[in-house]
Amino acid sequence: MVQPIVQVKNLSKTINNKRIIKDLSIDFFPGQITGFLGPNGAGKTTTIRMMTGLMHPTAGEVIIDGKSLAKNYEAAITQVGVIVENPEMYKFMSGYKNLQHFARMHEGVTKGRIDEVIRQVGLEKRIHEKVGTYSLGMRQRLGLAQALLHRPKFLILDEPTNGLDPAGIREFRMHLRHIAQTEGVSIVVSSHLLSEIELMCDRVAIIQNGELIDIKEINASESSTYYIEAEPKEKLMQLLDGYTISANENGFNVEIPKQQIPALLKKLASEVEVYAVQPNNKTLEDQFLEMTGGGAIDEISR
Amino acid sequence: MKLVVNEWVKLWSKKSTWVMLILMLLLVIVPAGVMKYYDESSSDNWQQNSQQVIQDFEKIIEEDDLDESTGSYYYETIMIENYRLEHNIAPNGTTMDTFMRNMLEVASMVITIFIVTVAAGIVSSEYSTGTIKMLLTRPVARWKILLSKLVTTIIFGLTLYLAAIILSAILGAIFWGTAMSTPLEVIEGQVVQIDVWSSYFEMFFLSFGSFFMSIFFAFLIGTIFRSSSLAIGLTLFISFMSNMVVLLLSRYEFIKYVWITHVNLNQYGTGYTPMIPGTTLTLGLTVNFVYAIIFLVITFIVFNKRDVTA
Ligand SMILES: Nc1ncnc2c1ncn2[C@@H]1O[C@H](COP(=O)(O)OP(=O)(O)OP(=O)(O)O)[C@@H](O)[C@H]1O
Ligand SMILES: [Mg+2]
Repeated sequence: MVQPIVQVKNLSKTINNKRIIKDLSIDFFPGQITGFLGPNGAGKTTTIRMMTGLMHPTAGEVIIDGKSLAKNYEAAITQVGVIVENPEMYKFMSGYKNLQHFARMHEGVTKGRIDEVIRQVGLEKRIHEKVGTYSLGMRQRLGLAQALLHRPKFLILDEPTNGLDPAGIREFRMHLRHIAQTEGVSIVVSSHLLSEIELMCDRVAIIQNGELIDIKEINASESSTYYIEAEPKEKLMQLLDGYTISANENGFNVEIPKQQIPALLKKLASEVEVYAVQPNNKTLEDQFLEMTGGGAIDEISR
Repeated sequence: MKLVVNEWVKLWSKKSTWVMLILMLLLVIVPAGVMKYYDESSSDNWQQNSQQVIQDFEKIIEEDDLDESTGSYYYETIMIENYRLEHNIAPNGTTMDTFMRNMLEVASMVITIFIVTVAAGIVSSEYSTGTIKMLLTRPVARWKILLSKLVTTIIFGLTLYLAAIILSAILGAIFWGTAMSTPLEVIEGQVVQIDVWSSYFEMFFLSFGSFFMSIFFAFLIGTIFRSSSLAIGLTLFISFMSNMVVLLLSRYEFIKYVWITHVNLNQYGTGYTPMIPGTTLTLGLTVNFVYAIIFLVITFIVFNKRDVTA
């Protein structure tokens, strides 16, 4: 079994007699991308604040790379890169100066590393302009750059795609995947956007009302229905005989395990024109809404 | 150390910092021009003036019933003027050192205001812009960050002092030459010449009382309440009202142990009388020191403990 890079143990936070976080425990492993999912006010940001030392837990502890955040703050936090909500930078300085500023606060971030990160987030052309003139998405990219500067082993991102354009989100997703796989970085992404979490994450931790109510691995076998579109339709229906199917738009939803897909495709390809085969990931959303009880924001229990 | 560099870079990236420096320099340049201009129109027979002063003051002493301190002022002035006539020492108009002295007085007042602005804003602005969370998620203990801000504020204040002193020395030398004045003082019934530079530096170091206490106080309020305007307002209010409050409360013993009585250390300098009789420079320094420690300890504890929700 791999050692977790971060262990959150029985974390609790009480503010003004309200129990905002209740006894939350979770481990994070290298190379894994975890989604923090929960309705507004669930306590995602509060948890992240405690994991980064911005807030002191009422009870429980956070252990990063074997070091207690509370007792050995400097050593523990070195391994962490973070964006908490909107990344706020110094507006009166250029993006580059901002990065230099934060680089000075870490050991061993070279000028070359700064340039590399700037390239990775695609800000080369505007980096010497004042941050005050940046758009929301550009600030978000700069925020990501400062979080990556020191090659953290643990990356915490609170609503990181807020304000990114579609191309930006895509690049961002690829980049996270890349550093998780090649550098073994453990990543936490908080969001209330299911689709985003689904595309990006290996597993999702669902938080509601300050409690961790479920941790789910995401993999394609979860979604056992696939949408298949092919012409002619009648022929397709014949070929799908034996599976449970239902009509959907221009094709059919087919209940089929992932492993059988290649075999089915081979069979289909020789007989019909296949236009689309895609997994139906509706299940997660359904499960989420089911578990968290729809849209209304819960009152915090006392 | 790198942290101080960071704070220094941030400080000078703000326009207001440059405005302060430029205002500071203008406050030395403009009076220099004005004083030079008026200087040229007044130069006549000083012996006559001295004699006139002596006659007038003697008349006042004979006729009026003066209390001790005003009386001694007239006596001492007469002694000094007599000394001048005997030894043929002309009273100087403006010279390089008197100009520098005047400018130092102006500068320490203005610097106090500027430094309060900086001390009040250097922590609270991080909260108001939300950048505090970027700063406090680094592998640097919180107290180090706070200390770097305090050190930066002090260095900035000393830089302003240095700028004012150097510029006033240069302008003084250009406009009035390098000849010094001959200040006279009555000490223990004797007229003596006092050393120009030792009295200059005495004044300079005594101005550190209000310099440091204002920084620490503004820093405290700015950190606790995260509002720079509150910190600036409160600190300046206290420093302007302190004389009045101290005088009002002067009959109570406890006022001797409140820092505002001692913020202005110049009252203990040569040729001044303390606001509260019986207080000394040693007492002043001790009280200031104790309060400084209290302010700093509170500031650091609050900053370390606080949850950041920005
Ligand atoms: N400083 C505070 N004082 C009192 N209550 C707070 C404080 N900060 C957060 N809360 C409460 O804690 C709860 C959790 O807030 P949190 O910001 O962690 O939610 P979140 O999951 O990040 O929500 P969102 O999806 O809207 O970002 C909310 O009900 C909020 O009102
Ligand atoms: Mg949030």
